[in-house]
Amino acid sequence: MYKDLNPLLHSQLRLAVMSVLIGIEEVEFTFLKEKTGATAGNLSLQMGKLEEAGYIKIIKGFKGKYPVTKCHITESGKKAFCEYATVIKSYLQHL
Amino acid sequence: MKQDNLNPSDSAKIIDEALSHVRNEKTGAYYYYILWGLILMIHFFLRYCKIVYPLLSDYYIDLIIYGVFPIGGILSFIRKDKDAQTENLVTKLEKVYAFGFVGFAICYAILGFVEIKTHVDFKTSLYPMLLGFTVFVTGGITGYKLSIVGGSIGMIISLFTLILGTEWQYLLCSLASLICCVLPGLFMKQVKNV
Repeated sequence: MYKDLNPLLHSQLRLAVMSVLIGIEEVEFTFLKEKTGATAGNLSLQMGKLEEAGYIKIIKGFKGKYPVTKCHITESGKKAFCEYATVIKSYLQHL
Repeated sequence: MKQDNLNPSDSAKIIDEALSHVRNEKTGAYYYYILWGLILMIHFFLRYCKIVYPLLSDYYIDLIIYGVFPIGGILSFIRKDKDAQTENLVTKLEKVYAFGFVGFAICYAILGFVEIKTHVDFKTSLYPMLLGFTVFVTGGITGYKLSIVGGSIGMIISLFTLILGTEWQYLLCSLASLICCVLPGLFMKQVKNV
Protein backbone atom coordinates (compact mmCIF):
# COMPACT_ATOMS: atom_id res chain seq x y z
CA MET A 1 0.00 0.00 0.00
CA TYR A 2 1.48 3.36 -1.05
CA LYS A 3 1.43 6.25 1.36
CA ASP A 4 0.05 9.57 0.13
CA LEU A 5 2.57 12.22 -0.82
CA ASN A 6 2.50 15.43 1.20
CA PRO A 7 0.60 17.79 -1.19
CA LEU A 8 2.46 20.83 0.14
CA LEU A 9 5.82 19.37 -0.85
CA HIS A 10 4.58 17.74 -4.04
CA SER A 11 5.11 20.86 -6.09
CA GLN A 12 8.16 21.55 -8.21
CA LEU A 13 9.11 24.90 -6.69
CA ARG A 14 8.27 24.13 -3.06
CA LEU A 15 10.14 20.82 -3.29
CA ALA A 16 13.17 22.56 -4.81
CA VAL A 17 13.16 25.15 -2.01
CA MET A 18 12.90 22.47 0.67
CA SER A 19 15.65 20.39 -0.99
CA VAL A 20 18.02 23.36 -0.96
CA LEU A 21 17.17 24.23 2.63
CA ILE A 22 17.67 20.68 3.91
CA GLY A 23 21.31 20.82 2.83
CA ILE A 24 22.30 24.15 4.38
CA GLU A 25 22.02 26.17 7.58
CA GLU A 26 20.59 29.43 6.28
CA VAL A 27 20.04 30.98 2.88
CA GLU A 28 19.10 34.31 1.38
CA PHE A 29 16.10 34.77 -0.88
CA THR A 30 18.37 35.80 -3.77
CA PHE A 31 20.22 32.47 -3.66
CA LEU A 32 16.95 30.52 -3.80
CA LYS A 33 15.71 32.68 -6.67
CA GLU A 34 18.92 32.03 -8.60
CA LYS A 35 18.98 28.28 -7.98
CA THR A 36 15.29 27.62 -8.64
CA GLY A 37 14.96 30.04 -11.57
CA ALA A 38 11.59 31.16 -10.23
CA THR A 39 10.23 34.70 -10.32
CA ALA A 40 10.46 36.70 -7.10
CA GLY A 41 6.67 36.88 -6.77
CA ASN A 42 6.07 33.15 -7.24
CA LEU A 43 8.94 32.20 -4.98
CA SER A 44 7.71 34.54 -2.30
CA LEU A 45 4.19 33.08 -2.56
CA GLN A 46 5.39 29.46 -2.30
CA MET A 47 7.73 30.26 0.56
CA GLY A 48 4.83 31.90 2.35
CA LYS A 49 2.89 28.62 2.08
CA LEU A 50 5.83 26.67 3.48
CA GLU A 51 6.18 29.13 6.34
CA GLU A 52 2.44 28.93 7.07
CA ALA A 53 2.79 25.15 7.39
CA GLY A 54 5.69 25.67 9.80
CA TYR A 55 8.20 24.00 7.47
CA ILE A 56 10.48 27.01 7.09
CA LYS A 57 11.25 30.17 9.05
CA ILE A 58 11.63 33.45 7.17
CA ILE A 59 13.67 36.21 8.77
CA LYS A 60 13.73 39.75 7.40
CA GLY A 61 16.70 41.95 8.22
CA PHE A 62 19.32 44.25 6.79
CA LYS A 63 22.73 43.73 5.19
CA GLY A 64 24.35 47.11 5.55
CA LYS A 65 21.77 49.55 4.19
CA TYR A 66 19.90 46.97 2.11
CA PRO A 67 16.98 44.80 3.22
CA VAL A 68 17.61 41.08 3.10
CA THR A 69 15.33 38.06 3.51
CA LYS A 70 16.85 34.91 4.96
CA CYS A 71 15.25 31.57 5.67
CA HIS A 72 16.01 28.20 7.18
CA ILE A 73 14.23 24.89 7.54
CA THR A 74 12.47 24.04 10.83
CA GLU A 75 12.41 20.70 12.66
CA SER A 76 8.90 19.94 11.39
CA GLY A 77 10.08 20.87 7.89
CA LYS A 78 12.97 18.40 8.17
CA LYS A 79 10.55 15.71 9.36
CA ALA A 80 8.08 16.39 6.54
CA PHE A 81 10.86 16.37 3.95
CA CYS A 82 12.26 13.06 5.25
CA GLU A 83 8.79 11.49 5.17
CA TYR A 84 8.27 12.78 1.62
CA ALA A 85 11.66 11.42 0.51
CA THR A 86 10.86 8.03 2.08
CA VAL A 87 7.55 7.81 0.22
CA ILE A 88 9.22 8.82 -3.06
CA LYS A 89 11.86 6.14 -2.47
CA SER A 90 9.19 3.48 -1.95
CA TYR A 91 7.42 4.59 -5.16
CA LEU A 92 10.68 4.38 -7.11
CA GLN A 93 11.50 0.94 -5.73
CA HIS A 94 8.20 -0.38 -7.06
CA LEU A 95 8.50 1.19 -10.50
CA MET B 1 8.54 26.90 -12.70
CA LYS B 2 5.45 24.82 -13.29
CA GLN B 3 3.59 23.41 -10.33
CA ASP B 4 2.45 19.86 -9.51
CA ASN B 5 1.98 17.00 -12.02
CA LEU B 6 5.20 15.55 -10.68
CA ASN B 7 5.95 11.86 -10.91
CA PRO B 8 8.31 10.20 -8.38
CA SER B 9 11.24 10.33 -10.81
CA ASP B 10 10.76 14.09 -11.28
CA SER B 11 10.67 14.58 -7.52
CA ALA B 12 13.84 12.55 -7.04
CA LYS B 13 15.53 14.56 -9.80
CA ILE B 14 14.54 17.89 -8.21
CA ILE B 15 15.86 16.78 -4.81
CA ASP B 16 19.09 15.49 -6.34
CA GLU B 17 19.70 18.65 -8.39
CA ALA B 18 19.01 20.96 -5.45
CA LEU B 19 21.31 19.00 -3.15
CA SER B 20 24.09 18.95 -5.73
CA HIS B 21 23.85 22.75 -6.07
CA VAL B 22 24.28 23.09 -2.32
CA ARG B 23 27.00 20.43 -2.11
CA ASN B 24 29.24 22.45 -4.43
CA GLU B 25 29.12 25.63 -2.35
CA LYS B 26 32.46 26.58 -0.80
CA THR B 27 32.83 27.60 2.84
CA GLY B 28 35.82 29.98 2.57
CA ALA B 29 37.58 28.00 5.33
CA TYR B 30 40.84 28.01 3.35
CA TYR B 31 41.48 31.64 4.35
CA TYR B 32 41.30 30.86 8.08
CA TYR B 33 43.39 27.70 7.66
CA ILE B 34 46.18 29.66 5.95
CA LEU B 35 45.96 32.71 8.23
CA TRP B 36 45.88 30.88 11.58
CA GLY B 37 48.25 28.20 10.35
CA LEU B 38 50.82 30.89 9.51
CA ILE B 39 50.23 32.75 12.77
CA LEU B 40 50.72 29.63 14.89
CA MET B 41 53.68 28.55 12.77
CA ILE B 42 55.42 31.91 13.30
CA HIS B 43 54.49 31.95 17.00
CA PHE B 44 56.00 28.52 17.73
CA PHE B 45 58.99 29.00 15.46
CA LEU B 46 59.95 32.23 17.23
CA ARG B 47 59.58 30.53 20.60
CA TYR B 48 61.97 27.87 19.32
CA CYS B 49 64.41 30.58 18.11
CA LYS B 50 64.21 32.32 21.46
CA ILE B 51 65.51 29.21 23.24
CA VAL B 52 68.06 28.15 20.63
CA TYR B 53 69.40 31.68 19.97
CA PRO B 54 69.22 33.40 23.38
CA LEU B 55 71.03 36.47 22.05
CA LEU B 56 67.90 37.58 20.23
CA SER B 57 66.33 40.61 21.87
CA ASP B 58 63.65 39.47 24.33
CA TYR B 59 61.47 42.55 23.99
CA TYR B 60 61.11 42.52 20.20
CA ILE B 61 60.81 38.79 19.85
CA ASP B 62 58.12 38.69 22.56
CA LEU B 63 56.35 41.51 20.77
CA ILE B 64 56.13 39.42 17.61
CA ILE B 65 55.43 36.12 19.42
CA TYR B 66 52.32 37.50 21.11
CA GLY B 67 51.57 40.32 18.65
CA VAL B 68 50.65 37.88 15.89
CA PHE B 69 47.45 36.86 17.70
CA PRO B 70 45.71 40.27 17.71
CA ILE B 71 46.80 40.72 14.08
CA GLY B 72 45.15 37.38 13.26
CA GLY B 73 42.03 38.42 15.16
CA ILE B 74 41.77 41.72 13.25
CA LEU B 75 42.31 40.02 9.86
CA SER B 76 39.72 37.36 10.70
CA PHE B 77 37.22 40.03 11.74
CA ILE B 78 37.76 42.00 8.51
CA ARG B 79 37.35 38.84 6.42
CA LYS B 80 34.20 37.78 8.29
CA ASP B 81 32.70 41.22 7.76
CA LYS B 82 33.56 41.12 4.04
CA ASP B 83 32.09 37.62 3.69
CA ALA B 84 28.89 38.72 5.43
CA GLN B 85 28.43 41.38 2.73
CA THR B 86 28.95 39.03 -0.20
CA GLU B 87 27.79 35.56 0.89
CA ASN B 88 24.14 34.63 0.55
CA LEU B 89 24.10 31.30 2.32
CA VAL B 90 25.55 29.52 5.34
CA THR B 91 26.50 25.91 4.64
CA LYS B 92 26.33 23.12 7.22
CA LEU B 93 30.09 22.60 6.86
CA GLU B 94 30.74 26.07 8.27
CA LYS B 95 29.18 24.85 11.51
CA VAL B 96 31.44 21.79 11.43
CA TYR B 97 34.52 24.03 11.20
CA ALA B 98 33.20 26.42 13.86
CA PHE B 99 32.42 23.68 16.39
CA GLY B 100 35.63 21.81 15.62
CA PHE B 101 37.97 24.75 16.12
CA VAL B 102 36.07 26.30 19.03
CA GLY B 103 36.37 22.89 20.72
CA PHE B 104 40.11 22.92 19.98
CA ALA B 105 40.46 26.43 21.46
CA ILE B 106 38.55 25.44 24.63
CA CYS B 107 40.77 22.38 25.17
CA TYR B 108 43.90 24.47 24.59
CA ALA B 109 42.69 27.14 27.03
CA ILE B 110 42.00 24.47 29.68
CA LEU B 111 45.55 23.16 29.26
CA GLY B 112 46.82 26.73 29.59
CA PHE B 113 44.88 27.10 32.85
CA VAL B 114 46.34 23.80 34.12
CA GLU B 115 49.82 25.15 33.31
CA ILE B 116 49.20 28.24 35.42
CA LYS B 117 48.09 26.09 38.37
CA THR B 118 50.65 23.27 38.12
CA HIS B 119 53.54 25.00 36.31
CA VAL B 120 53.66 22.03 33.94
CA ASP B 121 53.34 22.82 30.23
CA PHE B 122 50.92 20.27 28.81
CA LYS B 123 49.56 22.52 26.11
CA THR B 124 52.69 22.64 23.93
CA SER B 125 53.23 18.89 23.98
CA LEU B 126 49.54 18.20 23.31
CA TYR B 127 49.07 20.98 20.72
CA PRO B 128 49.88 18.82 17.64
CA MET B 129 47.56 16.11 18.91
CA LEU B 130 44.64 18.50 19.49
CA LEU B 131 45.17 20.33 16.22
CA GLY B 132 45.72 17.12 14.28
CA PHE B 133 42.60 15.55 15.75
CA THR B 134 40.46 18.62 14.92
CA VAL B 135 41.77 18.82 11.35
CA PHE B 136 41.43 15.04 10.92
CA VAL B 137 37.76 15.02 12.05
CA THR B 138 36.73 18.13 10.05
CA GLY B 139 38.57 16.70 7.03
CA GLY B 140 36.73 13.41 7.44
CA ILE B 141 33.33 15.11 7.61
CA THR B 142 34.01 17.38 4.65
CA GLY B 143 35.74 14.58 2.72
CA TYR B 144 38.89 16.66 2.13
CA LYS B 145 41.76 14.18 1.92
CA LEU B 146 44.63 16.64 2.54
CA SER B 147 43.10 17.55 5.91
CA ILE B 148 42.78 13.87 6.79
CA VAL B 149 46.43 13.26 5.90
CA GLY B 150 47.62 16.51 7.57
CA GLY B 151 45.62 15.77 10.70
CA SER B 152 47.02 12.24 10.88
CA ILE B 153 50.59 13.57 10.61
CA GLY B 154 49.80 16.16 13.31
CA MET B 155 48.68 13.42 15.68
CA ILE B 156 51.82 11.40 14.90
CA ILE B 157 54.00 14.48 15.60
CA SER B 158 52.55 14.59 19.13
CA LEU B 159 54.31 11.28 19.77
CA PHE B 160 57.59 13.24 19.61
CA THR B 161 56.42 16.42 21.35
CA LEU B 162 55.41 14.28 24.34
CA ILE B 163 58.91 12.89 24.79
CA LEU B 164 61.29 15.59 23.49
CA GLY B 165 62.63 18.77 25.13
CA THR B 166 60.95 22.18 25.06
CA GLU B 167 62.81 23.68 22.08
CA TRP B 168 61.99 20.63 19.93
CA GLN B 169 58.39 20.79 21.06
CA TYR B 170 58.16 24.36 19.75
CA LEU B 171 59.78 23.43 16.45
CA LEU B 172 57.48 20.45 15.99
CA CYS B 173 54.42 22.57 16.89
CA SER B 174 55.48 24.98 14.16
CA LEU B 175 55.79 22.05 11.74
CA ALA B 176 52.38 20.70 12.83
CA SER B 177 50.82 24.12 12.07
CA LEU B 178 52.33 24.02 8.59
CA ILE B 179 51.21 20.46 7.84
CA CYS B 180 47.76 20.56 9.48
CA CYS B 181 46.66 24.06 8.45
CA VAL B 182 48.80 25.96 5.95
CA LEU B 183 49.28 23.19 3.36
CA PRO B 184 45.65 21.92 3.38
CA GLY B 185 44.49 25.56 3.28
CA LEU B 186 46.58 26.39 0.22
CA PHE B 187 45.02 23.57 -1.81
CA MET B 188 41.54 23.95 -0.32
CA LYS B 189 40.76 26.93 -2.52
CA GLN B 190 40.72 24.76 -5.64
CA VAL B 191 38.39 22.16 -4.13
CA LYS B 192 34.59 22.34 -4.15
CA ASN B 193 32.54 21.78 -1.03
CA VAL B 194 35.19 22.36 1.66
